[in-house]
Amino acid sequence: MQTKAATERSKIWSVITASSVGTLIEWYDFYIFGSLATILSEQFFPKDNPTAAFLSTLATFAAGFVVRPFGALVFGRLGDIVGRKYTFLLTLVLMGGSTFAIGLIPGYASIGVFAPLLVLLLRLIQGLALGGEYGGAATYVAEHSPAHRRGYFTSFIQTTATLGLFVSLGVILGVKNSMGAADFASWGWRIPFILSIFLVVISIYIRMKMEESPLFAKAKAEGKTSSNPLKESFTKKGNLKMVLLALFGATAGQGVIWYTGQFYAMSFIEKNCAISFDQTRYITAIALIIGTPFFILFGAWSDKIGRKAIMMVGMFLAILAYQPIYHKMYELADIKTKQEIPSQKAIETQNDVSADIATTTIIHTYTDGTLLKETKKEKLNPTTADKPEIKQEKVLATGGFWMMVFLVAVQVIFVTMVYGPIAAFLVELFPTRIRYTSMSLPYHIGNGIFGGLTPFIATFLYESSKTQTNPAGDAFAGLWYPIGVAAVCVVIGTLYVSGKFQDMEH
Amino acid sequence: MNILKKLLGFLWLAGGIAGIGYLPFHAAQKIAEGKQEDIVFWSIMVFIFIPILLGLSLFGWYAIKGEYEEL
Repeated sequence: MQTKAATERSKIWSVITASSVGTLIEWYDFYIFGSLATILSEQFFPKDNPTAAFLSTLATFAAGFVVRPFGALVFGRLGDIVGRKYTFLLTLVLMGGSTFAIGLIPGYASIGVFAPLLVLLLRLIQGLALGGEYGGAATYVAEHSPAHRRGYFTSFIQTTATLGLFVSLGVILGVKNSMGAADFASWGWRIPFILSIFLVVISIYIRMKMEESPLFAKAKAEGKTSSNPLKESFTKKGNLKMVLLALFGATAGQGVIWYTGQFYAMSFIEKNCAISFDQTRYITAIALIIGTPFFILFGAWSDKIGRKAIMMVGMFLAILAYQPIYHKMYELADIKTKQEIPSQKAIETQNDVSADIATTTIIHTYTDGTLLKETKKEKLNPTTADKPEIKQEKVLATGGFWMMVFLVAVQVIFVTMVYGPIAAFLVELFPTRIRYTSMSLPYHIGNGIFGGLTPFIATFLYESSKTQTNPAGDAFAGLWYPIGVAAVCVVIGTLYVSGKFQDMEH
Repeated sequence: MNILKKLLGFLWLAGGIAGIGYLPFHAAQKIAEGKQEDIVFWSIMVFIFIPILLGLSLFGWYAIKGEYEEL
């Protein structure tokens, strides 16, 4: 009896590992593409070429959100017809293969416009594959899990975003430090992409050894699988109404909370608060380490008290807390509220005659330990049209640093509340025969579109807040987007979503 | 609770329809400014959000018809 239980335990962990490695690669790719964006744009998308710049914009948008819902439809359908195992094996090969291939494309200098075209094509394949990956992973784990621990086991998939970030940072920093910045910018940036093949091979090996999901295998043996899951999912009212409920009552809110906590916060600290690049990443990384175990905690808790309550409370708390949290973050870095120590002011000037540039660096020290580094670059012989380029970078003192970590960690905990139980929530909403298709679409619209658009819409709101009377704009205007979407989602989720546990064996 | 679900259904339906009317109008204004990034961004916004807003309207319609009463 004990041996059987041990085998079952070992099997579910193999299933979780097999599923999570794919989503880990997904995140690994997401972060390396983002982290290396500057180098990639120099290699593939030179700004002086309008076609390349246009393709760059398309590549960013296309893979981020346009293609993913289509991938959800294509691979969801395949997963409900052929099976979970082979479908998410295919998505893994396509996704990992595309990441690997990006590392091999010759630059714009070698093959001209074919370079950005190939990158765009690979990004489209990646986006399509991404649309099928998560639904497959979540369905596969959920269909192997015992009903009373489904939230706990599926929550492990949710932790891969953090792991993906750390793996990508480790690989990028390791490669960069081993060869120097110049070589890295020239050719070393390809290595993180090429190295992804190891993750893919390991993952394929693990997934090949796995069996088909028991619920799907049973449905198939009984001839109960769907011959047209798309039609059944989106044209039959009984299921379509649940797809709409999943989107507007859960995934849309989850998407914006997730992107705000894990991405917008970082962008706000770096751009609006002008905190240094390194310190911003330390703050985010530590907050993620603190927050990540809560995915599992809330996933497990959702097995006891239900998915809905935790997700709705998470969204509600985020709605209430975002404005005060971001005001506090801004205040921590606001030098107007700090007192400078004039005796510690340091000024350094460097003149580069060959480049005709004078660089003046001023370091201000404040009584709370905050440092402000102001770098001013100007022409040595300026004309009236030349304006100096001024860059500000702050480094918070220990107290401010840890307070900032705390404020981001709180947001990550909101993320874990809405994101931890969501896989179990979604798979339980739909029957086995059309589960992969039905859950993938609302998930990717929620995450890819509502969530993925957060930085763009937030920036749009901020820019729109700039008026003649307030040319600086409202730094917090962007928050109204996640707050608004989450508020609608809380109302719909609270009123319309059932709090009862759902039986998946249908 | 069911009455509230139905009443709010009118709000989702109206919100979806209003969005469908407003979004292309606003996008056209932005696109007319001629910035390349705006053209891509707003074209995608219209392409993506019109179906989503249709979905919101349909959700509202289902709510009005009492489709979510037994959940």
